[in-house]
Amino acid sequence: MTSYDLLVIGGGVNGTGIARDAAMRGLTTMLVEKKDFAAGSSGANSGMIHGGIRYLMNDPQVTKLACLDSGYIQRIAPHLLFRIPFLYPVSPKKPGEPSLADRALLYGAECYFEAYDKYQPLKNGKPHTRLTDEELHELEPGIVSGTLGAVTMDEYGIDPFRLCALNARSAAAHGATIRNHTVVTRLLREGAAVVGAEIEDARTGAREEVRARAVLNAGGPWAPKIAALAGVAVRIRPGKGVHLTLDRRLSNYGIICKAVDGRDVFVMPHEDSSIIGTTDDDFYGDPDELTVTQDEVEYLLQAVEHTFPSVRSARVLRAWAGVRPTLFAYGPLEDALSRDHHIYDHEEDGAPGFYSIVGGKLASFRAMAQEAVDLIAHKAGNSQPCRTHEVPLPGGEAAAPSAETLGREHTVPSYAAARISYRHGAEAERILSLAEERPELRAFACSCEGVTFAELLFSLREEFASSLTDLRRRCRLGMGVCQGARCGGPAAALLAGELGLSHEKALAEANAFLDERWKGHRPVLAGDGLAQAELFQCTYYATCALPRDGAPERPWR
Amino acid sequence: MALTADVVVVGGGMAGVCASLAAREKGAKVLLVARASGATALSSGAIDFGGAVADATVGEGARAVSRQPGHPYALLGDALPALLERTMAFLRRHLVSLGLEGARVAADKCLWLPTPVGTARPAALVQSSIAGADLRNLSSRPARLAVIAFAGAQQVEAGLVASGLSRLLAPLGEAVAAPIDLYRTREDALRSIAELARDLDRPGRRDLFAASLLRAANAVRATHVLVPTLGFADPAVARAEVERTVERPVFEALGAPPSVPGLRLQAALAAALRAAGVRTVDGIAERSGDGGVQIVRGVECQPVRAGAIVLASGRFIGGGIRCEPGSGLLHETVLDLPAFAAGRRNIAALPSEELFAVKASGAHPGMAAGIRVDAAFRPLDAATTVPVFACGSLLGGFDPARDSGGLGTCALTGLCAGERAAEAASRAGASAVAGR
Repeated sequence: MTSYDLLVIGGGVNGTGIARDAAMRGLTTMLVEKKDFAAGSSGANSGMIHGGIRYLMNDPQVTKLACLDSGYIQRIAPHLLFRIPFLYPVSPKKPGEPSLADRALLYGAECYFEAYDKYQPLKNGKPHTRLTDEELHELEPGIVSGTLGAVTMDEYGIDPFRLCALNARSAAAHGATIRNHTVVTRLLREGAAVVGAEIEDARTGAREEVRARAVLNAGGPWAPKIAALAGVAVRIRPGKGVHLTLDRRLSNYGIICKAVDGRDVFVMPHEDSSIIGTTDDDFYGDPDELTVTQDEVEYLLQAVEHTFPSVRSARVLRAWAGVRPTLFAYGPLEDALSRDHHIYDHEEDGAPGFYSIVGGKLASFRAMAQEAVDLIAHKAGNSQPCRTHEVPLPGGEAAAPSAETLGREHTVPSYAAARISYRHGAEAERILSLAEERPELRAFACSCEGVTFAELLFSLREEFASSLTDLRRRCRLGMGVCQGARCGGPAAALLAGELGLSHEKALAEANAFLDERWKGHRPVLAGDGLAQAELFQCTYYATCALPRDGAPERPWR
Repeated sequence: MALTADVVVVGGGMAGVCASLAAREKGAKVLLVARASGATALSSGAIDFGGAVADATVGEGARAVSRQPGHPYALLGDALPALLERTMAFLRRHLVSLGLEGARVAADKCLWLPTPVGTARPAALVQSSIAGADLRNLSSRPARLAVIAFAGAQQVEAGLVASGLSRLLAPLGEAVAAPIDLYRTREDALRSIAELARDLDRPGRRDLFAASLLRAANAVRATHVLVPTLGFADPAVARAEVERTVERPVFEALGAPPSVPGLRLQAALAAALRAAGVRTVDGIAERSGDGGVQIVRGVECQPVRAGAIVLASGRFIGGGIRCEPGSGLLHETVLDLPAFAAGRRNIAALPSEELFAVKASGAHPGMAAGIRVDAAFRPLDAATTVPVFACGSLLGGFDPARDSGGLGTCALTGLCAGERAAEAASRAGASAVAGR
């Protein structure tokens, strides 16, 4: 039986970050994830490495940690981060009649943002500025007129899927065993102690036992379920967060809007689209069965429309949801819950060798991982220092090549080269060199997101991707305006060729990918989106005659 | 100045063109208004009437789907088989350049054609350059089918297509991917099939292509050759020329949108309109204040004086049916008639698994939205001064993605609506004369 110093359960940003840190310190480490990296909460967030200005009042330590770590993430993965300056416009409650209370709100906001300025140098952010109504409309003419002005702040966006995949790759490069699509079926016990787990390959059903000196539960919203396997309780207060993706960059700046209930809702540019988010509602369901309701969609659109009316002319490409694994507290409203994190050593609960990590935010994953690994390494007598804030993630070692050079040298359109350069940084050359041997690999599998076959092949070979939905997370396959209406067939063909899949299995992979795309499109089917859906349906189920359940193999016999 | 016609047809896809041609054959003066290319141009070009399962004939398939609630065939009763045959003959007659092949009578079976992912899809009629690829026929002999790959995405896809077709041709036959030595540059890898088709239309290219195909077919010892495209122009001529060099049967594959056969079908429809003397106008038709229609082009607005109106404006792709975000109400866009899916007007009130299944491949009655019509194809809710008829995807009740009808259904209902509109216009004209 294989034996490890540490078995990490969960391939979100915490699990992958912990596996990386542990492996870099020389702990023999295994990571298991039942679906794929960032398939849960770590992929269903705003894609922001933000400093947490919201928490400044009640949890300043959360803000400080997030800002500090935001700076570190810029250092280790500079290619993945993009600056998003945010605007916080203040409108009078009664249009055209600014009251003292309205002015006080703007003044208060400025004071608050000024306090946040103290942390901005930690993440190379610029201090806030105050804009007049005129200056605000020079930047964003689409904002409603007659504001009292706005305050600005600096934040950063990130591709959270790639962040997790790169953590996993880095862990593997430092010797960790990485197993996505692998489920923990039970924990191994010796007396009270947790000494490993039985794991099952979700694809083949093959089971094996692995031993570990420490087992760490980084399951996010699934953490209570995993803890139950050890007979201990981990309480979280799960909060459902819904986001919308638009078909365009509605604005160049992030804009903080007020929802009908007074909550802040953001609209922010992200790659070629804009993201609107988020809701925050107590969630009592199964995190595997998340659906978005019409009410949630309308609430978010209404919130943005209040400040940026032309949002109604944009097409909502999809709606998606995640669950925040927030620390448990009885009493506060969802938004008032602390975003702090907690690491449990379940020795106290009678399960020595078992640990859980819950809470926290995307921006501070690295520091949380460091804290968890400090605890475990210390117990194992390992005193190696944490280096995850200094050693670059794959692709972050050097500056990313320019899109022009990359496009010229490898004969790919520069918009594709730009996307490869963003997603892969210094590794961009490695990817396009695949197209030197096989010229066809420079063609697009997904033209909406500029995804070449070469990039898909690289992810299949180097990034633990083994399905089209994995490739969607690695390379944004099918995440653009057509939502997978064109790429399903070509990408399935590449997958089948590389993995040696049967035709039947290849089409099943295509169907699974299309189901996943449809899931996000379905709650927002209206307007031009219905035309896109009709084209999607007719392409796959009429023109391509993809088999549906129970369809015969040879239709004419 | 007002445009005048006996029949004005809104929509330039399969349904609208068939309605125009049918009205023209009845002697009507026809004006066709089209906003832009729609679902027909984006189709695979394969013409089917629905219900093509197992070994069913075209007539049996159509009868089977006619029992589905709200299917337009249900309005036709016993006239359906005869209408199927009339429609097939009508299409062959008007789209001569495509050399349509396949079923001739309702008792004929469908063709089963290779798709871009190596499955088989049914068609009652298809362009002659494609028809020979009928997999049922090919599978009855020891065929070795070369799946020709160009340099780009098709090179990746050819493997999947070949493995799928091998399953369908087994046990007697098989398919094998075969790259050609034309179009091998890095730049070629970035070109779409439609772009390569345009290139094949250039002087001299077809000969080079045929010679390259011969080498590829010989290399894999193929008995039959499946190519991504033969070019846009004259597919029948191109196929004959290429076959002479390749010395084996050569067929074109169906493509995903925008496909060459789909674009070619749209071009052939436009040519048929010209040949029949149907006047076409690019513009948006909308309801006018006097209960008729007017045509909007940019800032210009022109009233239309017609004896009858045919709506053939399509479903969501064509823009004939919309559901505005916010209201969630389905409506028809020219006359603002109410539209329905599975009996409901509001389709946005999710979660509703009745209208859109959770799985992409599931049942989506919402995708078969349309307006309600009477047995004469006249919309139930139209309050116009001239008689209105509807046809094509606007009717709802059928969905190409669920095997319940496609281009053939649009052609058939277009034919019915066009003839009835011509008759109505002629009656209106006669009574106008009598009234004078």
